Amino acid sequence: MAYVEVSGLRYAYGGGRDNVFNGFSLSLEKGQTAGLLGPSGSGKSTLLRLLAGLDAPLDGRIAIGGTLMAGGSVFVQPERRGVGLVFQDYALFPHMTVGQNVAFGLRGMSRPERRKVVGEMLGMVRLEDFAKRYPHELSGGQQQRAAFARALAPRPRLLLLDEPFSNLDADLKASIRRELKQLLRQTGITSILVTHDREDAEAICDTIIMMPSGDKRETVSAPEPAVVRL
Amino acid sequence: MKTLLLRRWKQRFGAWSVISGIGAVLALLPSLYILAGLLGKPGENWAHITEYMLLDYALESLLLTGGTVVLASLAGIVLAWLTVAYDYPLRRFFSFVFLLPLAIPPYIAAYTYSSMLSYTGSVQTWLREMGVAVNQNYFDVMSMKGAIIIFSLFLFPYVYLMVRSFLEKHSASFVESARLLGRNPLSVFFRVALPLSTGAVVGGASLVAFEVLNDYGVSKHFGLQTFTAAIFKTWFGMYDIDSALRLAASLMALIIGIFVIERLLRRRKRYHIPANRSVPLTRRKLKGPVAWLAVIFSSFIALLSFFLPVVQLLIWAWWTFEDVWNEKFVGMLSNTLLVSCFTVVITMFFAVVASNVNRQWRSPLSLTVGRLLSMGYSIPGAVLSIGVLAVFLSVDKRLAGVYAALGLGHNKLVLSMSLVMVVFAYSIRFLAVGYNAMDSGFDRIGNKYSEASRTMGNGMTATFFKVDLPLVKGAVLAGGIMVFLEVVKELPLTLLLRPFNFDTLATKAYQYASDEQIHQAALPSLLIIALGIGSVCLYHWLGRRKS
Repeated sequence: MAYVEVSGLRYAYGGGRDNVFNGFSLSLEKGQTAGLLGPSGSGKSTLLRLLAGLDAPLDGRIAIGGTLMAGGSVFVQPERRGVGLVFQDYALFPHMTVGQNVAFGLRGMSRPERRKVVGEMLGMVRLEDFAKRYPHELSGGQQQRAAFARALAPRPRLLLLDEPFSNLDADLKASIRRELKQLLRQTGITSILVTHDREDAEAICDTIIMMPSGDKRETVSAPEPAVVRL
Repeated sequence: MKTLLLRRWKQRFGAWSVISGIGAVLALLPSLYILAGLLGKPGENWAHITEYMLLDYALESLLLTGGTVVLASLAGIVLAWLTVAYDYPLRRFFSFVFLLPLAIPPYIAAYTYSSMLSYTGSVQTWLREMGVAVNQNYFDVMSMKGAIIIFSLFLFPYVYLMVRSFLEKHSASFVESARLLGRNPLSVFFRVALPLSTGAVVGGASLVAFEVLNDYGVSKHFGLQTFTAAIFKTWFGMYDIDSALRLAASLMALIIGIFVIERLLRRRKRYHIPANRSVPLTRRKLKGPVAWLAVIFSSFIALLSFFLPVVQLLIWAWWTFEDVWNEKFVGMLSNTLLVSCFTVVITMFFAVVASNVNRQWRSPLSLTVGRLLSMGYSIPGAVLSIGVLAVFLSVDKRLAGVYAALGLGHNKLVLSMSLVMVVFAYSIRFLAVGYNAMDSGFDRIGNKYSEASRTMGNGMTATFFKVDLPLVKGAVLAGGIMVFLEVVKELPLTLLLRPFNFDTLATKAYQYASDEQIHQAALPSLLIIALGIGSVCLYHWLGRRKS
């Protein structure tokens, strides 16, 4: 069985009749980095929200790491899924320092343990010296790395990244792309990355999942999306 | 430097900036008169007042305001979070009903509740009929505690509204992040939603504070010694306007002090929270007993803060309708509408001009003008009326020659005995309401449309009528509605400045209530509430249509 299994997924915005997904399926092996590629409005971000448990599917199954997250009468709340999400606008809590942000997801740990993990995470993204800064005192690239560290700190089973490059300057993009790729390799985490830029996906991912373009209601409902293995 | 100033002047000088400057000066005049009053010789009663009363007034006002701010904020925050983050039966209904208490002025609520809960009131009568013996202590609302509860019940919507709209627009990705990081709902609320909403809470809470400090009706009815009550007492009881002026100045100093403290406290944590680009917060469905608890809690608040008092007033109005509804009543109704409409027109005119100037120039000067224009709302009505009266008396003195030449006689007080003074005072007090509505209206459309129009050869005025006005007419309407509602509810200003024998719905209701004719007060009160509900509905509808 694959590590991430989505099958027969059905979803419509606000309980409306227009389906965004109609029998959508997807599977992903452990340790893979998949790029979810498609034009805006094709349901990429919606898929991430369904995987994270922020929205509930009308029908279908979602299983992560062998655990059923949604399907039948089962629905696991987002806080119990162990899924990390890096938001498009990072959503770093503005009233907490970078260190406090990273520590936010760490619970059931003693204080020194927590401090150690925060130190490790910040070291990994090279923000050791910024622990006491507030998010608005960081550059865009630094904010992204902080958001990445925060999402990884609780050791999620699956990491989701929503348009990770959309808020960055074009000339920064190449170096940050390289960095992100290295970080994902280093941690060996299974991850899904949403983007509308094919170059981004090709540079980072092992697999590209094409969300079909065109009229979204008809095409996204295609049961098997095109999958390109790189 | 000189040429730069000259250039700026040429760029910015025009009818629009002149009008907005005049507005600011007029709005500032009463405050200047009040502060100038401190320089003169104190009146005969001042020594007595400072020695025996001033500290008590200050403490009582602080306790009342502080207690209300805390309780109203608590209710507002909890209800906002409940209706934004959760889904439960009747949620949409409640999220609208929680706005309605704004239509009920606290002084009306105060006499309604005190009469309902009195020994002969409907509640105790009913309990006696049911055979329940009650301890009178539980029913005594006419105290500091009672006043705090009543103010909170009817002012919490200010906090609720601001926190709700903040959470709806800004909180989604933060709250979702916190959930994904494994936090339970309580922790999400206390660690993330609450601290993020601090700005909105402070904004709503300061409106609550201004309302409490402005109040006269509740404290008079309940016999509380607040600043405003003291100003009334020195003005009408001792006929000592100088001392009243000094009291007003002390209260203004207190308010300025609160402002400064608030600024200092928040200085270190200033950040801008951008509006979320992503989807709004997904509501979590409450199920089973928790859902019922939410419904019961919401119904409890809705009953106490709206339905119970309104039903009671309806019953009383039914009893006394023939007694109260007569020609004089209709005259008074038209008085109310007349002064309200005049005020709305004047207020919105200055609000539109000043906010348009401010958004075009964005200079420190125009920002200051904007602040001055919206200062009136933070000055309690009683304080403002003393300032306005001082201004008008001195104008009348100066115009004495003109009056004599017109054959009106010597030493006549013309302006200070007229409705002009009341409307002037209303306009200063409620300019902030209109100005803030216009400011956010212009903020929403930005400058690009008008700039495009200017480059195509339209002047500022032509641009305003052709481009801006069609785009911001919703804001003009919304601002006008809010100003209208405020004037209809206004009590202390009207009581102090109205011409002889001039009554509005508010003063009539107050007068009946203070004459112990509570049942007769129901009809004018209900009309105020009906106008208020109409305004709230229209406002709500306008907001819906925009989004």
